[in-house]
Amino acid sequence: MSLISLPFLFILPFVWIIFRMVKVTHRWVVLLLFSMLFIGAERPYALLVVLGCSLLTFYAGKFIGKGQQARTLFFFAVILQFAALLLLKYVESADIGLRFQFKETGFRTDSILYTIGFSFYTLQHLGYLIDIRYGRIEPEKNLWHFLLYSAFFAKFNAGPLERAQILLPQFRASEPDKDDLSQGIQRIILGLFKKLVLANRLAPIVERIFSDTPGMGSLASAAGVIVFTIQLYFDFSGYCDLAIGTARLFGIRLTENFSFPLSSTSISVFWRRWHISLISWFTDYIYYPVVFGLRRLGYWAVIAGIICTFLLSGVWHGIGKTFLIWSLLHILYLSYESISKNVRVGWSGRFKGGWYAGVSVLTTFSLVCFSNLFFRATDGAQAKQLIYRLGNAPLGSEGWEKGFLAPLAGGGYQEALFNLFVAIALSFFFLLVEKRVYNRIETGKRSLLQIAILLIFIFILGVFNKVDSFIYLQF
Amino acid sequence: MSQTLEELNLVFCDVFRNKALVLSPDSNASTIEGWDSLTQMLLVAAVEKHFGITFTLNEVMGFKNAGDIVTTIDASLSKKVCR
Repeated sequence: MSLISLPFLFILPFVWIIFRMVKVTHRWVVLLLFSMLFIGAERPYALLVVLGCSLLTFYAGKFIGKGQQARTLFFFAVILQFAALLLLKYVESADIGLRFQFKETGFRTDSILYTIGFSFYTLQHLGYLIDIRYGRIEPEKNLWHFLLYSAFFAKFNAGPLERAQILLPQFRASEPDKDDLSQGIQRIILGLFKKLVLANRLAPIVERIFSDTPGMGSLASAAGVIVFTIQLYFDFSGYCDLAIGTARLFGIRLTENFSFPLSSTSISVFWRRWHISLISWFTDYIYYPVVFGLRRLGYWAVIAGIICTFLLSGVWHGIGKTFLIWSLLHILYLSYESISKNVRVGWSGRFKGGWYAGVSVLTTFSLVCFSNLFFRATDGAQAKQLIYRLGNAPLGSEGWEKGFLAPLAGGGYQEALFNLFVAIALSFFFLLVEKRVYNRIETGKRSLLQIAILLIFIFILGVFNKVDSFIYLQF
Repeated sequence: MSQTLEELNLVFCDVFRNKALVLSPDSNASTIEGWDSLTQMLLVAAVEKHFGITFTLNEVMGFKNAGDIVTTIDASLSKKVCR
């Protein structure tokens, strides 16, 4: 089930009413039952996988916490989690038997074994076991609470990745107040706006630029690459708004996953603002242990940490040349930033008046867009083709209309031109006012005008086909 | 300013190449320019070398501000003296 599907949106109010009717200390039962329905409704076997892995993690955590065969059990449980992740993400159950699919994108979303959300879920379990093994947290005593932590419907499909010590205490007695309800609804509306109006309207533009369109100039190709980054941002942050807003209705506060990343002044700042919960997971469980172990090597330790973190992050997103290049680009960017840090801090002090910050934002955004070209390309050939096109004449061989407008606007028909104009204008306008919109919601100001405007846009300009297809669900 | 904080201030000035940097127990990554995950372990290595102590990974991951570092340094130094 998806957070935006009709069955979900239909059932949600009933679940909320039942939730409010039940005693505070027993409300987790409602959340657990609905989470099981959420996971098992479309793919019952997915529920079995989730229950199996949760039981394994719960009991492994319990014994590791007691110190009984802690090291052996820890490695056994971690290897099993990884094996399950590999099996579910990269192995296809074809007629001829199981075989690995190390293709460019790596995912088999049509495979019977595929379970949406499993990779997020596995990382959560691994983090839980590592924290117990190294004495950072106590193992959870209540199996049912742990099952809910693992399978909580609002964050199950694509995160945010939650830490046990933050989420579990909230389930013991969740009592939403008026602000939770109001802010939750506003975040859901904002998420719907970002997904249905912005991301879904930008999607066909990206689709065309990444497909083989003859006569396309470098300007159109560059615009397509930029638009993809913006589409990805609206698509995933819109999903996160839905997840965070839905959880807030039940008094549960999930981790914020984005903090205006497109205005970052460096790649390291970008990674502190983009997919925050995933990057903080990789930072705590991969980057810090590697750099800490090698810290006597100075900058080399930092670079080794960056390499391990981004190679693993690349593999987590998918196995293939394109994800490898995406990882290598970010390793390069961050290594440069790490070595040049003190020099750059000096520069920022010397150039006053916002010029340095402005140039830094533009440079960072361009570097992110370039790396995302490899993130979006279906294979190496498509990425190569697009890079060649970036070297073409600005308007291609056929001028402004055929070399720029037509590729971006699906042949240049009036309806497609309208979509192009609306999508670009609304996206840029929203990026300009985004911080203000969030501040209004977070400070508890109930702006009926803001809600009304967003709802009107959703009903008039929302694109409702392929409504369930969030980009990050494939990871 | 405690003796440990003063010495820690010198290490910070050296790592961040900023002689004007003034540390308080509340100083953290958002108040000191350049203090982030890229520089955190360089700082840890420099502090360990300066005070002649060794941190554990759990201690380092618990550092939220300069005050946390000072507390851990003092605890490590007193353990060292006891030995």
